[in-house]
Amino acid sequence: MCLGTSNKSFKYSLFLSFVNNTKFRLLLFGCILAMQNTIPSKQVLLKTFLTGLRRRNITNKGMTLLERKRAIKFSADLAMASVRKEAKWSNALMADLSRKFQRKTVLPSKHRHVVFRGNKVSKHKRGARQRRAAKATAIAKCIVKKREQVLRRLVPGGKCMDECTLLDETLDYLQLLKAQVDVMRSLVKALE
Amino acid sequence: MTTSRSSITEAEINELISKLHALLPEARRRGTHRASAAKLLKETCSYIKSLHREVDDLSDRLSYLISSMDVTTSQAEIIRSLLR
Repeated sequence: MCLGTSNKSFKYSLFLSFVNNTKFRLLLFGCILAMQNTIPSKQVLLKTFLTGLRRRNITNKGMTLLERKRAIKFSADLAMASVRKEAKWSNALMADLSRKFQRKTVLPSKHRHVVFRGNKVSKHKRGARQRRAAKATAIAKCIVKKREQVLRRLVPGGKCMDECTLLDETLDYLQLLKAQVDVMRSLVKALE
Repeated sequence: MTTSRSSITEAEINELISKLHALLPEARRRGTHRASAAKLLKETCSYIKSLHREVDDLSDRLSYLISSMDVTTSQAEIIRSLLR
């Protein structure tokens, strides 16, 4: 478990005391206590992640390693998107997950109004700017644009956002991604 | 939150850039000391890619660990009852 050595035994015994009472919520609480540096959204993440894993019957011995891995990734993405229902990346991710597995149990997106502005606007802008700006500035902007395109591919739903929204969404997405990685790391440590 | 391109101020973009800069881990931050937009975007992209890779790797390990959970380990039993 990922515990500090000084209060390891205390936390572990507290954790074990919940085992006799087999209610799911209390066990979860014990697991959450055992996690270092928990912030509210990480606790929610863990809970949603574990619930999703349960729904996918993850302990089924009949599953292949690859099937189980896919189920784990799916549950992780779903948990991440559920914690932030308002974000655009979250809705894009949910839509993506629904398409992948075509299940009606996946939560539908709250709002689907996507802005298809991306390509048209940038072409027009690039043409106007290159005429006016010095060559060095134009090249620099080109590099930024290319990098921005890469970012759009990485962030879910990034293709249909304007610059400002993209940066905003990236910030939010990064936070959740970091939290998800931390949650999964703790789970791995707990099982090893 | 502004909706049209022309009314996005320089200050807002700078604020977003500095927030992004703050989110990157320390090791990556040193390389982009001046926080120029291009370098920052590059670092952000490579950071997101590395996080995706890590999720992939962790999913692999979790899949293996769950499939080979030892019955006698009390910790494994706890996790297993969480997942049942």
